[in-house]
Formats: sequence, structure tokens, C-alpha cells
Amino acid sequence: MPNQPSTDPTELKIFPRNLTARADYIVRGNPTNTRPESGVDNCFPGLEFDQRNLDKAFFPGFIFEFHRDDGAIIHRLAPSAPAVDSGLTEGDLNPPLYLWALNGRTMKDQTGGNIPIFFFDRLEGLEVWRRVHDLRHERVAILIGPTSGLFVQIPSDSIKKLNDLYKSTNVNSYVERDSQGKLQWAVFAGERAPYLDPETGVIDPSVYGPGELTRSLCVPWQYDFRDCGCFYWASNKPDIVISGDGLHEQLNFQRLDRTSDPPPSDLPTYLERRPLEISYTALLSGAWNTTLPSVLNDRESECFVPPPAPDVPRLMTRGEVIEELKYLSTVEHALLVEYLYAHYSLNAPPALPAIGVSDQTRRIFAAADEVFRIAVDEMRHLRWVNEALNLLGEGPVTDRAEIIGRVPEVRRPFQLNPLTPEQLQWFVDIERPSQAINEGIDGMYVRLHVSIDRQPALFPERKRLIHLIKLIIDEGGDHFRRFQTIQKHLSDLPPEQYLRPLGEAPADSLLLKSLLSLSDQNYAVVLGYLLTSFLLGDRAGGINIEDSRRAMFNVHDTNHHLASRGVGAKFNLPTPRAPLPRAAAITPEIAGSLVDNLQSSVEEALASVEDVGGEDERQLVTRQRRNYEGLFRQMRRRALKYK
Amino acid sequence: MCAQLHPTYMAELRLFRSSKGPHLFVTDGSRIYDIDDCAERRIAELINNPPQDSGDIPKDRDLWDAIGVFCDSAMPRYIDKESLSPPPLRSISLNVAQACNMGCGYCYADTGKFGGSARIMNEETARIAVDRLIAESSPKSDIVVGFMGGEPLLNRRVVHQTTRYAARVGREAGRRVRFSITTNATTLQPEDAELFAQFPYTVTISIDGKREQHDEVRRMNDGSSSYSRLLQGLDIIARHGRPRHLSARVTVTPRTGDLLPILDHALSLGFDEVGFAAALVSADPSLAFSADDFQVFLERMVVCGRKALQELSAGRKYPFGNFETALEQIHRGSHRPYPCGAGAAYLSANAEGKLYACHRLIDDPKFEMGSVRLGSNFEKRAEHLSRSHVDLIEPCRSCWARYLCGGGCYHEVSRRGRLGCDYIRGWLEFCLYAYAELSSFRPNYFNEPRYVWEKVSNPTTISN
Repeated sequence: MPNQPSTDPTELKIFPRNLTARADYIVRGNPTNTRPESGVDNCFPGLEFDQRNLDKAFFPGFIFEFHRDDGAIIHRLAPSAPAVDSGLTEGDLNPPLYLWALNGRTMKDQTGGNIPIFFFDRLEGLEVWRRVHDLRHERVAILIGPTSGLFVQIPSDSIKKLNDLYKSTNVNSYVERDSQGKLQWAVFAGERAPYLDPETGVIDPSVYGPGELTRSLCVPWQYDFRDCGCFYWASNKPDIVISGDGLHEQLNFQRLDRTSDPPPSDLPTYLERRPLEISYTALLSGAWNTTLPSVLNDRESECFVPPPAPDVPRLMTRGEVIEELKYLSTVEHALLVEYLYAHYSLNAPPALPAIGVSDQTRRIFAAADEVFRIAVDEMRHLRWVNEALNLLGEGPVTDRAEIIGRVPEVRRPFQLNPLTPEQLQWFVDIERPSQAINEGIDGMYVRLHVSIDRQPALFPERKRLIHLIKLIIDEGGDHFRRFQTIQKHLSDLPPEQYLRPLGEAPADSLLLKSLLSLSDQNYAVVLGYLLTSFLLGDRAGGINIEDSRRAMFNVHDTNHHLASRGVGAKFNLPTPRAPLPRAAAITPEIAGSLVDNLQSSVEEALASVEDVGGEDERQLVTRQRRNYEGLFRQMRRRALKYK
Repeated sequence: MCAQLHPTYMAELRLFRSSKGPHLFVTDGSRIYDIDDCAERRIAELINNPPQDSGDIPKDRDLWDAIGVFCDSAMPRYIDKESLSPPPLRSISLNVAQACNMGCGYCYADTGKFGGSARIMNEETARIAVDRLIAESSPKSDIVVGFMGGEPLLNRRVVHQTTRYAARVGREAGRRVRFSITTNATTLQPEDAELFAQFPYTVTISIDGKREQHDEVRRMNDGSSSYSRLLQGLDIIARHGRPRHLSARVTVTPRTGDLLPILDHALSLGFDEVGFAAALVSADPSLAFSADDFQVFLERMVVCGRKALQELSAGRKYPFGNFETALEQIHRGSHRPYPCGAGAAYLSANAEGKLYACHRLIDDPKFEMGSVRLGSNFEKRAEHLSRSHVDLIEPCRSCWARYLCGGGCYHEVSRRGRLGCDYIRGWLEFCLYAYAELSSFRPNYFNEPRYVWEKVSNPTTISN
């Protein structure tokens, strides 16, 4: 082979230039964005690297300090500093000497009169540093004096001297003292000091001692609570909190006074605030652990007591868990439908017009909207239960429970009721969080949760199962609270004002009959969609939100249309034209024909509405057709995955 | 074992030089590397004496191994021989007027009639086409509705109503809809300019040069000057509303002459972008390019390209469309086995609502792909895409430029064959050089937001 690896290390260099080339090859080592110049503009507060530290030794023999509001000072003088030869002493640094001005190039093409002089009067340290940082690695001249840049009037003869020295080739210092020998100002010139090793390009360890580069960085992982000036860390650290009793908001989490009532207010500036906070030393020596309370949901709490573990008399077997999940799937389905029906019974439009809405309509709408959202959640629960069944190797269940609830207080047959106060109370009760087993829906899941969690040997899929069940339990608690909110929305309205009568369609109304039949077909599509997605299990890539939205949109569209005409949707379960397939037996052909059947039935129903309806119905049909076309195409695409 | 596709590295590698030194263009993934003289020498050896035992497309590993660079990546190829399955649609163009008020000698569309009779699209068909686009596109993607012809503004009412309809149903369906129109601007009215400014429109106007040059080929049906009316149209745009993007398209014929003066002239009229296209399929055969004309065309394009490179390097704007688009594609490493989105995410509807692969292939039964009423024909689109994969086409499959070029315009190839391959390679070679220069001397150019990004990132934006 002519092409053996080259032994000359300077040969065969390959650098990616365009984006695909750069993305193609993973280069070992630190990426370019770890270089100092590409940091997160690193000096305030210095998230990964504080560049002010890097430039503090920019002038030979001096160590500057830029971390001050009143300018930059000389912090230290190296014994070997050239300035020492000009008579500068440690004694001159107390009180400190400030950097007043400097002369030097920041760009190569600056020549003659274009070479800038930077004046630092009235600039804080950060601003001074920004100018210093831009200097080229060549001759610079600096002017220093004993007054803070905030107040100084820079003498004109000192500027002239600065300029002279910068241009001079052999003079490097000038110190002006008064008759008592007190330093008035001084000018020094020299090469800007390098801080990188010329060979390796890394920061020269002989220039900086340990800790010198990192000293001013944030320590968010330690005790940096209220001090974080940019609020960067506040998202996962308490800084401003609510008192334990919930009465006082906007409290400083680090406040020293933890007994006064009311507690002291937080103060806006650091200097005002700092003396009223627990000191860093105290925090470091353990106050954060002994004095500062836990904070949950922004609220201080003196103690956190986990709820007692539920008492489960007997753990369920794997078979019982599966049976229970199958039952719960039918319950979720039943609740979904009951909530939807309750939603349609409320006297509110499907969407709130932008103007001209009375307060009462607004409240009824808010209640109706909340019920609808809960119904949408139930659809998600139905999916999660079926995912759980899939994990356990079982086929999907989309049947609807005929009896809901296990204990007598909430147990009753499935029924379509308007959202009367009694019905609403039943919804609250069935969703009530419970640590007791077998009350309400929540209780049924709690028992499953405990049974699966405590028997890892029986449930190798435990990790994913627990996750799904936990999601349902958590959302159940949320539903309980949301139904209570709905009770509040409606509490001072008489039911006849917020309910609309939902009756039967008159026998002679062809239009209403065709809409009812469309409603049933819309419902059948939703069930068909869910079934085909569940059958796919993992291969479905989850339920496509857009597709389920399309399916639900049409159900909603028809049923609102009916409800506005005083007729309630029936939610008749579809009578399958062919027996529903089992997961193992499904093929692209079976799935495809399922979609065909759904499509032809729903198209029949749409066509009959179109035949007997007016302009409103024609628009409804156009909308729904457009929606269905996209949905069925997606379903057909998915059908191909059943291989 | 895979079939033998590329027996040599010739089709996979291209060496070129800029003032920065030697570079390597790797066809798969359109990757560009800076290399040193030693690597250049070894790759040249490899291209001239490829290893005999390797029959299949070489993998990266083979390449880097062969030139002696250690590499542990065994990535699969960016482009394999699988043809694209028809993706969801992203754009449909509507040939709203298959008729024109001009009679340009080189018109590929037979002034919009495509060999048939003059007719216009009715409003219902246009609406159905929009519904079709929404139904057949991914719910997550933006969509583009284009208006073509003929001269689309001869059917002004449908352009206006369809724009508003599409914007409305798009909004209801939660989709962003953008629009494009290609017009001669001779009948442009204030309300058109207002429409183009109100909705996100890309407006492309045809202009062939200064007055005499333009009027020589682009005549009104009554023989009067179309240039004067074009200027009036531009004036209306300036006064009544400027679209988000206003571009000029120059059709080049063998008689056109130098291109740089035309480019500068069109830019002086205030276009956001000016691009050239060679007339290959022309009603008047004397106006169509022959293989020989391409050599001159290449030289003249490169003159424009050099000017653009010089201007862009100096930090000035110079929106020479062919050049900026090519540079962006090269920078991004654009690589695709098809020349454009035709028949894939892009379809074009004729006046009756029949769908075709693109607006140039209207009424061509070989490229018919369903209808707006019954839906696009998935099988025909799939068949078209499997037939057109550039790795299956001779002589494309042994050309290094194939994933940048994609195999050439379907319309031109079907009518004239591939006459312009040397021109395309020559132009791309110049653009590769220009990319290496510009990315060295003004790297920030590629970080600046420009319209061209959007165009490049969306292969179905309708051009010409």
C-alpha cells in the first residue's frame, strides 16, 4: 500500500470546514466552546470562568483587582516588578493606587494619532477590565494615582507623560511625589504580560496560583441563595420564599431574624440586605441545615411529614393486577363519557367570543371548559392504563364499564347526567384522593401501586408500570381539586341558569336524527383510533396528539351542535361490523380494513347530515371531512406498521 | 452484497484549491475539509489508482484509512440507495391562469397553455387545492401556496380570494401559510401590492435586462414594450406595499450576452435577489441553449460570481441569488438524491385541479400525480421518486456533484436530456472555491440571518 500512516506529526492534517463536515466527526478533547473567549460572557457573575481574574496580571509586576465598584486598584506588587526600581513601594499601595488611564493598541491597524488612550474616571472595575482585556500583546503605558476613579480629576501633565512614555523606546517609568514624598501619580510602560504558555496555549501555571482564577465564581451548589444577582440559580434554590403560615410573601430565605411577627421584609440592595442575613460563615458551619427550613412550593415548612403508607390488607397477584387494570380501563372510558356529557349540559358556547360576554356566561364557560379538560385527561388515563396492560403482555381494552366504583358510597351504574349539583358532588367523590383502599378511583390505583411496588419479583416491568400508575394517581388528585373549583364557579347560580335541557330528538326531525347518528360515528372513530394505537403498543410512538385532537374535535363539534338544539348526545357504543382483532393477530390488512370501515360509516353519516342540513350543517360537514381525511391517512400509515 | 455502484473514488471525492490551500469535497454528505499538501497528494493518488478490491461505495473509514489517517468512525452513508417514500406535502402551486398577456419567444409553458387551450382555474378548484394541501401535509409543518401560470394575475380574483381563504383555514388548522407568485408584473394593481404585503409573500418578477434587451424577447401580445409596464409594476409595489421578499428572475438565452450588466441593472431596481436561469426548453428553438452555449454561460456566470465574492468579502450586500443559494447549500452541506421537491413534498395543479409533479410539467401525462379532489396519487409519487434517485441514473451516479445537483430539472431532462452537466460541475467548482474563500475571510457571513436561509432550508419553496 502506498498510503501508510504518516510518521511525521505535521503531516496529514484534516480540518472540517462546512457544517456537515464539522458535525460528522467527533473530535477528542475539549470542544472549542470551552475556550475562554467563548464562555457565557464570563465576568458577571462568572458562571464558568471569570475573565477579570485572567487579566489581573496584565502589566508586568502588578496584580490588579477589578472586582470593585470604584475602579481598578493595584492589589499587589511583585518584588521583581520593574516599578520597584523606580522607587514604588508596598507603602504606596495603602491607601490603594487606582488605574486612571492607559495607552495601548487594541487593533493592529491603529497607528500614530489613532492609538487610543483610555480614561477610567467614573468607571467601575468591570468597565476598566473590559478595556484592559482588549489590549494587544505589545507595549502599553499605564497611569496610576491615589484617588478613586469615581472622583479623580486626572492632571493634564500626567496624560502628557503617559503619552511620552508610551512612545519612548528606553524610558519605562515616571513617579511624581509631593514634598512629603506622597505619591501623586505615576506612569509605567512595558509589554503587556502574557498569561498563556506560548508552547501549549494553556493558562500559564506560573502566573496564577491555585484558586486565583476561580475565586470569584458563583458557588450555587453551596450557599448562594439570595445573593445570586442574576437569578440564574433561583429556579432550583430557594431565595425569595413564602412564610410557613402562608401569610407573608416575598421573604428573604436567608434572613437572620426568624422569630419576629411579621417577619422582616426583603431589601433590594446587597449592602442593605447583607447585615440582616445569616453570615456565610454561619451558613458554612451548618446553619443551612439547622436553621433554614425546607421549602416546598416556595413555602417554608418547619417539618415535612410524609403521608403514612397506605394500609393494604393483602397484596394483589399478577393476575389480579391485570384484571383490575382491565376493569379500570373500562372505568376511565366510562368517566370520560360521563364528563363529556356533563360538559355539553352546561349552557356555554364551545368557544368564548372576544366581546359582549356577560360575567355569568364567562363563569359557566370556565366551568364547562374545566370539565372538558378533565375529560381529555381521562382519555390520557385510558391510554396509560392500556400502556400498562401492554407492558404486562395484555391486549388493549376499550370497553366501557357498566358499574363504576367499588364501595357503596360511590358505586353506581354508568349513566349520562347533566352537571347538576348532585352529579358534580359525585364527580368530586369519585376523584377524591384516598389513602384507603378501594374507595373512589384513586383508591383502586393506590392498591395497584402498592401491590406492584412491593413485589418486584412478580413484576419485572415494575419500573415503568409504577411510573404510569403514579401519573394517574397524581392527576386524579388534581381532578378532585378542579371539580371543587367548578363547584365554586357555579355555587351561587341556580342550576336552571347554567344547565341547558338536553332531551330526545323529535321523531320527525330528520336533521337531528342524522346528527345523532353522526355523533355516534364520531364516537366510534375515537374508539377505533384509540384501539388501533393501543394495538401498536410501543410501535405507535405514543398517541399522536394532533390525531387524537382531530378525532375529539369532531365528537365535540357534533355534540355541541346537538346540545345547542336541546338534544343530548347518546354515546351509543359501536356495534362492530367484524369482531375486534386481538393484538397478536393484527395485520396491516386487518388494521387497514378497520380504518376503511370507520371511514365509510362516518362518511355515510356525514353525507346524510349534508343531505338534510342547512348552511351551518354543511360547514360542519366540510370541517369534519377535512379533519377526518388527515386522521384516516395517518391511521392508514400506522396500519402499515402492524408487521 | 450490494450491487457495484461506484467502482472508483472519482465519484466520491473532489479536490479543489483556494487561497487557503488544498481542500477536499466528499460527495456523501457534501462535506468539505481543509487538507494539507501531503493529504492532497495521497488523495490524488487514491483517485487515480483506486484499490481494486473495493467494489461498493467506499465508506468513510476506507477513505481515511486509505490516506493513512486514523479514524474509528464507521458511520453509515448519508445517502443510501433507498428511494424517498413520498413525504407529506408542503407546497402546491396553482396554475390559476393557463394564459398570458405576453408572448415571450422562449416560454417553456407555451404562454401557459402547455400545448392545450387557454383557460383559468375557478375559485372552487383553488379552494379545494388549499384544503388538499392542508389535509395532505404534516400538521406540524408550514405550508406554501404558489400561484403560477401563464400570468397568474390574469386571474386576479382567484389569487386574492384563495390567499385569504388559505390564510383563514390555515389559521384554523394551526398552520403557518406562506405564499409565492411568479408574475410579469405588467398588470400589477395597487390591491395586488397590498395583498402581497399583507400576507407572507415571495414575489418573483421576470426581467431580462435593460429596456431594449428585455423588450426584444419579452413582448406584450400587442407588440408594445413590457419593460415600461414592468417599471410601473415596480413603482406600484414601492408605493402600495412591498412583499416580504421580492426577487427577479432573468431568463438567459444564447443571445443574451454579458450577464454582469444585467445583474447590476436588476439589483439597481431594488430587488432583494436576482437569479439567472438558462432557457433549455423554448418555444422558439433558436432561443434554447445548446450544449456549446453552456461554456460561454459558465464564463459569464463566474464573472458575476467573482463580483459577488468580492462584494460579500468586503462586507457589502450583493444578492446574486444563484451564488448565495449555492454558497448556503455548500455551507450547510446540503445533500439530496433529487434535484428538487417536485413529486415529493411539492405538486402543481392545473386549471382543472389535476396534479402534476411541478409547474413546468403541467398537462404532461407522464408526470400526472392525482388531483386536488381525489388526492395526490401516492403510488405515482413513489414510483417517480424511486425512478429518479440520482444513484440509479446514468451518467449521474458516477458524478461527484450528484448530491448537490440531484440529477437535473425533471422538465429539462425529459425534453432535452442532460446538456448542462459540465456547466453545473464548473459552476459548483467555482462556488466551492468561493465558499472556501468567503468562509475564511468573512466567516460571519454564514451566521447572518438572510432570506436565502429560509429558501435553502425549505426545498419546496417554489422558484422559477
